[in-house]
Amino acid sequence: MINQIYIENEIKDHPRVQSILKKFKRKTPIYIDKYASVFNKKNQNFRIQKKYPSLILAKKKAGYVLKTPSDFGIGNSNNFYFSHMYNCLYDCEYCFLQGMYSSADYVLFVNYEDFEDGIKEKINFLKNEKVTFFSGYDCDSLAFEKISGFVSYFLPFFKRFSNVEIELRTKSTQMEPLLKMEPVSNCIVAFSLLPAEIADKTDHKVPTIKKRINKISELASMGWKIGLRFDPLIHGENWKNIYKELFADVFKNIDKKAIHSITLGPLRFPKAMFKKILGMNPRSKLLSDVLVLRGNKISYTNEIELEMQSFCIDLLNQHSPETLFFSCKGNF
Amino acid sequence: MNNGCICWVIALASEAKSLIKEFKMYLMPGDTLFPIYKNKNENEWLVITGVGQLNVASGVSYLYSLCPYSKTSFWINFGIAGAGKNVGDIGEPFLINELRHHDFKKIYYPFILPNLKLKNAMLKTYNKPQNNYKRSFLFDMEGWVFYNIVQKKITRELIAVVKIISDNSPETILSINKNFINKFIKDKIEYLMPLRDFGFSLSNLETERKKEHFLFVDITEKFHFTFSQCQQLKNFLIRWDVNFPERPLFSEIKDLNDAKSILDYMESSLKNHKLKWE
Repeated sequence: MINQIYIENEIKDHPRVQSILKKFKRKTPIYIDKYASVFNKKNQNFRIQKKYPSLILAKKKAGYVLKTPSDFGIGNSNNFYFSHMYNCLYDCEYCFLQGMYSSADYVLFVNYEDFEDGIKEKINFLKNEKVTFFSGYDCDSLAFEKISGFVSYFLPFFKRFSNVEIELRTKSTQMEPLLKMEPVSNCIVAFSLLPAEIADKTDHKVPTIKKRINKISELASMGWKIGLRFDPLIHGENWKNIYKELFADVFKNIDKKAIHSITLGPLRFPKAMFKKILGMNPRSKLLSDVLVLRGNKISYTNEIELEMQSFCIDLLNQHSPETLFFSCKGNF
Repeated sequence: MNNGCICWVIALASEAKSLIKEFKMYLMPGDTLFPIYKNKNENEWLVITGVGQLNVASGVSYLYSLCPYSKTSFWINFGIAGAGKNVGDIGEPFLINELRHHDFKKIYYPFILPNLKLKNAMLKTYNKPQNNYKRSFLFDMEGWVFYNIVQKKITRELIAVVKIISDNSPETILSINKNFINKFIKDKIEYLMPLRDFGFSLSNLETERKKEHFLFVDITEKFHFTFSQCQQLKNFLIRWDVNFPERPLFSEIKDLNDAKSILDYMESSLKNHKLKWE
């Protein structure tokens, strides 16, 4: 799974690095000055690296917590995201990470304590205001848990702040840390979902939709708050039927009381990244569909986007109250 | 079908001799700046550059301009290197995972190809021959420069540096001669085979990704397409294949007479198509 391990010299003795290395006893790490000397260099091939990804253990030096794009939230007006990791174990054809970096290597920032300080600073600054922190923007929040211990570390931290919500966005079914602890009331475990027919073609190396729904069901019955993220909405010949089936399947298996929020997001790529993504994956069915330039994003036509949004909201209304719906367009 | 290609960059004729024989390459006839060898299928090329940084830089550039598949080839710098006594034994081959230069700060970390039976090590490139064997790395006079030039043109995953230890003490350097080099490289060729196979497959992937659609030349030779129309045609041809794998395009456009009508026809067909996910 991991081709090679690189470690920044500055953190080579960090306890988290030492603990991760124990999981890769047969690998001889290469020590580097900064992660950027390996990661995201010119003339790297994302697709080849995706087949043989390396792990880079690094220290994040600044920008621990960032504001989310406008129009991205689940109810609170203060929304931030933080990325303890760049890149994802999964390989989804609509993922912007393919265009964001030329490397598919995983960069794991091990200085969680500094992220914690950055988050605390925001919380203190916005005292008494409701704040949501999103994790899983530049990576999957849970897929790498066995190596990173990210959730095990951060959930007890977030538990201390009642005015704060943490969203863990994931497609993973590796839920070990969550299954082992009592549900954390200000944590939303948010799953990205799309119809199985589409996911089979676009979501590579990802647990099937059936497995994801089963896992959501298990967490919901334990009392965890669940986020349903139908993002991106993907068009096709029979899209109404397959989305209808997906929603029916989801609501048949998940306790509605556990649903914290539902978001819908259109398929969209930043214009500058789309060309790169298409160049890497020219034979992708998804990318060969009719996509148009709208402002600085590439997406379906406005007509298709609105039709999908309104159809899905109508359907979801039959299962869930409207107050749970949020739009996550995440305008670029 | 494998469309991959390998480009070998080697300093000395004695280092190249066994490879040329094993991979059935022959000397390109004519007045070439450097000795260039290639096989019958023209999917394996080799340049003998001579020792040192200037020579390797010129040799790489020359082969790059000569080989028609150079942009998607897998490039290998192969040869002998000195090493610290503790690094390895004489004749031991290494896949280089870190490249340093005595005079420059820039460090390269070549892509590590998985599952090769080759140990990894750091290589440092110098301007002059070295005889300090207390070091913990390999040293040569070409490796860093080779990588520095090739990475400007080729995706980094298609570049490898492989060195065999030729000397690791003042005594061992005395036994290096043409026959010695030729013999121990011959004995180690088996270690290069998996790397070579891997190189072919990665190069094949890159060639497939970059290759033009087979109809592109036929269509653009028949009708005049402007530059932007060419780009549009390239895009439509791939999308056509993906969306209509059972609809041969040529028969559908055979009665169309110009670039615009072809593009309009393709655009309208693609626009009206709805993706089938089942």
